[in-house]
Amino acid sequence: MSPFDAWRKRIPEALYGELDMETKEKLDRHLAACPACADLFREMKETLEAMAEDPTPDPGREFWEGYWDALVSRMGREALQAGSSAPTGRPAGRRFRPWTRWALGFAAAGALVVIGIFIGRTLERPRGDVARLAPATPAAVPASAEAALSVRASRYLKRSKVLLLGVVNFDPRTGELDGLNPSLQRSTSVELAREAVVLKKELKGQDPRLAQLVSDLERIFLQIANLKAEGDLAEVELIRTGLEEGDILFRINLNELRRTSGEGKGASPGPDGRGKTAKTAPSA
Amino acid sequence: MTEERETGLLQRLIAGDPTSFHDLVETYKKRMYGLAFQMTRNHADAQDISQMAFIRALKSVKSLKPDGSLSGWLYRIVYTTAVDHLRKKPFFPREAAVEAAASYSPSTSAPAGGWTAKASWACRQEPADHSPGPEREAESALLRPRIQKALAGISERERTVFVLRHYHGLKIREIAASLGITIGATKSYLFRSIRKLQKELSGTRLSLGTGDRP
Repeated sequence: MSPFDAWRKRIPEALYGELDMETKEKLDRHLAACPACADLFREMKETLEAMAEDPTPDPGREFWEGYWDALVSRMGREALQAGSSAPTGRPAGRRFRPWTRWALGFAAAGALVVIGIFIGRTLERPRGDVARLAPATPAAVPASAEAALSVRASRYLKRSKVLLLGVVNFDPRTGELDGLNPSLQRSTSVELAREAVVLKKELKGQDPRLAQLVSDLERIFLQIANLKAEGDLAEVELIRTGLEEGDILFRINLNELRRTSGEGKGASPGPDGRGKTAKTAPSA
Repeated sequence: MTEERETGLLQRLIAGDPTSFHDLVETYKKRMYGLAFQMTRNHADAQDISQMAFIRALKSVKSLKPDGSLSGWLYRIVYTTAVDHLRKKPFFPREAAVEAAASYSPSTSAPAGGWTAKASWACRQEPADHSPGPEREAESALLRPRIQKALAGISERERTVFVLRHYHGLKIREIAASLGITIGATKSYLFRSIRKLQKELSGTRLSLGTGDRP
């Protein structure tokens, strides 16, 4: 490589300030003496200036705010798939690899944060705003309240599902709650049981079937919340049996399907005669 | 992100701090998405790749070294994830991809036109400028498709090196480490990418504050 080529190749480094002082001074001397390299330096500089605008589009605030939620949902799904696709000879509780325990744990913890933010935004809104809006748009308040409840219920079920999968994959032979961190599972269960108390009351008028499911979940979460720190094997088995006999996961899945198909059709009228589609939030 | 914060996050990840992964995602999601978008020029793919990369990162936390570079490690994961993704993807004409990228307009609460007006938003972690002046916005709207087209005209490797250096602010040695190539090769890719971009942009009157041509 000729000295000319060698200096040309170092122009990008100079333009990005990656040359040490001594090399930079040598390059500057070369540029002063070599018009071809000086022209190249100027042209490259102009190109970089012209490329200053990052062409990457910003998908928007909503996308970024929902990013974590979407990620943990995906992790939950993949963890579940990893579990179900494992060789059948392995014990049920050993199906999940270590990372899936993280994934399910994150899914539960992440859902907690999302629910908290959502409840904060929707339910903790100053009542003055609602009162001020109500006379102007009489139909808007019940519609948005119904939508908020629908979203809350949906997220509640997703969160419940993630936590319950950990229980389902409990291995009685090892006594390990392999799907989740037991302490996180218990603390999340307390939160879910508390939320169920409020949610089931609100759902009673709108969706009695869903209210019953939430009520059943409340009972299960109370059982999980009261597990001993070391893990009461008999109690966990009892919870698992209750889950299976009550078809809890099946009913959660059914509700998700019902909600999705309702969104797809977009024509099912709500109690106020309005379509339900517009009131439901996008899934995580 | 400061070096101290990055080191702190790295240590927490290695130690298995349960909140560290959330912090990792929140800190790097825009950068990961940005690189994935530049490699695929497609929003859905970029979202998919960035998420897959974070999951891969979580699976391979054990490979992190206490004295290593967290961002370099992550960029490498995104890069390899994107390469895998592109290999599996059916052929998609380049021009169509460029047009799709240029006309991409998110349906969410993005600013008018769906683009940020600020350069390097992805790497600086600054909030997107949601209120650019109308002139600036119009100018940016004209520029972006041209820049996108110019970037689409260079090879995948050249584009990745350029994007990491120019928009993500990585040093040449960091890019080399992230992509698993030599420093010399990185310099060559960078030089060639700028030269090719120069040619792609030549003949295009670019109305930039500092880059106006007579």
